Amino acid sequence: MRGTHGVALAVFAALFALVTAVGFVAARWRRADLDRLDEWGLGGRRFGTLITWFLLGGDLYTAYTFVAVPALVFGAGALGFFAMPYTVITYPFVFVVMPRLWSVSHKHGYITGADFVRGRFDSGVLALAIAATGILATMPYIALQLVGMQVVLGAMGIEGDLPLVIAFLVLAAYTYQSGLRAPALIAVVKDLIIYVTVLAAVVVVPMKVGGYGKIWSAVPPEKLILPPSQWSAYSTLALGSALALFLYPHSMTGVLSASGRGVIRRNTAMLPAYSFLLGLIALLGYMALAAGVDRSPAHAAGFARYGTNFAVPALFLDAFPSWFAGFSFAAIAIGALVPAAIMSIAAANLFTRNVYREFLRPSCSAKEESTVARIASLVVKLGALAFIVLVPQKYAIQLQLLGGVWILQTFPAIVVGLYTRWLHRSGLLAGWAAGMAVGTWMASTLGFKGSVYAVHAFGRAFPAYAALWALWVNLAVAAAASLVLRALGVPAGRDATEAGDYG
Amino acid sequence: MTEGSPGREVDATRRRRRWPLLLLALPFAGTLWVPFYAAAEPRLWGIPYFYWYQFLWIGIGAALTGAVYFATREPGA
Repeated sequence: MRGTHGVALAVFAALFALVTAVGFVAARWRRADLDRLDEWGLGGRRFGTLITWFLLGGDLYTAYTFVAVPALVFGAGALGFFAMPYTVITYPFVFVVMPRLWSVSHKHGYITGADFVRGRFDSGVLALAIAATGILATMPYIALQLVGMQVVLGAMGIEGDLPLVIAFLVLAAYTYQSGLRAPALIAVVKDLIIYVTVLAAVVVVPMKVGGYGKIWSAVPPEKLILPPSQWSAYSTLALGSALALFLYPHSMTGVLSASGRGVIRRNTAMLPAYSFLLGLIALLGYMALAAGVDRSPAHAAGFARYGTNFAVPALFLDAFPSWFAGFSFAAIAIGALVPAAIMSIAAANLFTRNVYREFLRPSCSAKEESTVARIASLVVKLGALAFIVLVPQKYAIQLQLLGGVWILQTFPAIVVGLYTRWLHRSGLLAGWAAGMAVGTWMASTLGFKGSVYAVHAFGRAFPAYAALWALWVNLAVAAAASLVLRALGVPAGRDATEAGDYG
Repeated sequence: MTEGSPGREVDATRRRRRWPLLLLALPFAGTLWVPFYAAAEPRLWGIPYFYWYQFLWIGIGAALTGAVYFATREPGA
């Protein structure tokens, strides 16, 4: 690294100050009683089409995505592009499924996916399992947002954990005050500067390295096109990730804060704009390869410290004038704040609704509920901060991989549950436990370094995303157990919802 | 669809056109079968097939979802 970058840092700091102000002012936006959980934690379910587009875009396409996807492409080549089919197929799925969740949640005041499971299957324990899975999968995800921030701070020559701690404390303060309104408003600013950054990068960088032709020819052939041995990994990673994306608590919070079903349906046709952006960002990995950023002595220290995650920041430092590098780093850092805020709010909602109110204080008032959620959001963020400061980064990455495997295990209760109650609540719990166990075991045999597990059968190996293998086990156990439980006449509980509630 | 009491709202749901939803299966077929596109040729403006094909599907996917949105328009939503 070349010491501290003064101009870049000044632009970065100015943008950071701007979004901090926006975060605090957000409390007054569409003013309402923030002492109610659906106001603090869901923005009053009043976000229209455009705000939801910014909010979900800022929420799903995170800072870590913007650093890690090109890093994977830079390191592994074509395999890193599974993010493209992943985001192509997730929206048709969301179009069909999520309006149902919105309708039933609107009717019954559900704030989390686990709330729905509680009402649908009449089981606090099953809801607890769903909530715990959500919280477990979210925590390392928040921690990884900090990794994204750390890398760009490092690229500007800022060392040490203190700036990170300050940034996160500021974030924690305005999330505490404004709730979901803060990331919703900040997302508008963040997404605009991200679009500017990426569009500038795909124009400016190729000019610097001598045109797109040079970029494609710089990629080794074995990296350029996916070899047959990776086909099944590629498509199962895409499918599993697409099914899991909207099971994450922070995605669900984004969906439930929409003002209507039409908002969600329209957004599934509009959000692919971000997928296009993500595709361009993935290409930055090849541009970094063509520019040979890893061979530059100026970046040796950065690569030594952050690995391939340093590829994009190094590329920006080389290709952009200093002030624009600062602008683009701000895009990534602010891109970390939005999802981190929404994730901590989502985890706080889960804790408040499905642990605190369910098991600790069933009679708690609306104000108490909102206060508990605010404090929980602080605890979650401090936990993520401590994790990233105290524990080596690779554990956060491994846990986030595992989180993807875990969160898919809530599919039967939530998604299948939106259509039928045929699966018995105890069967769902057994399936969930089996899926979690199998998925974790598969990841452990891979040393928690990857998530593509090869099942050997009929003398052949079938490599596929461990989350999907685990989901099949989950569904099989849930179905088998449901058959038995039904035959034995074990009570299935009372369904609080009606067929008409799903819209 | 589910057990329980089918009310008037359910009848309204059932009367709604459903077949356009089948269009939403196309993106799955187009992107999950990798042999369709794991190749460098034909190139488009120098971009290997593998890449422009998947970029194209982002556009097709959005267009299909948009079309299905209009075809299954929900009153008041």
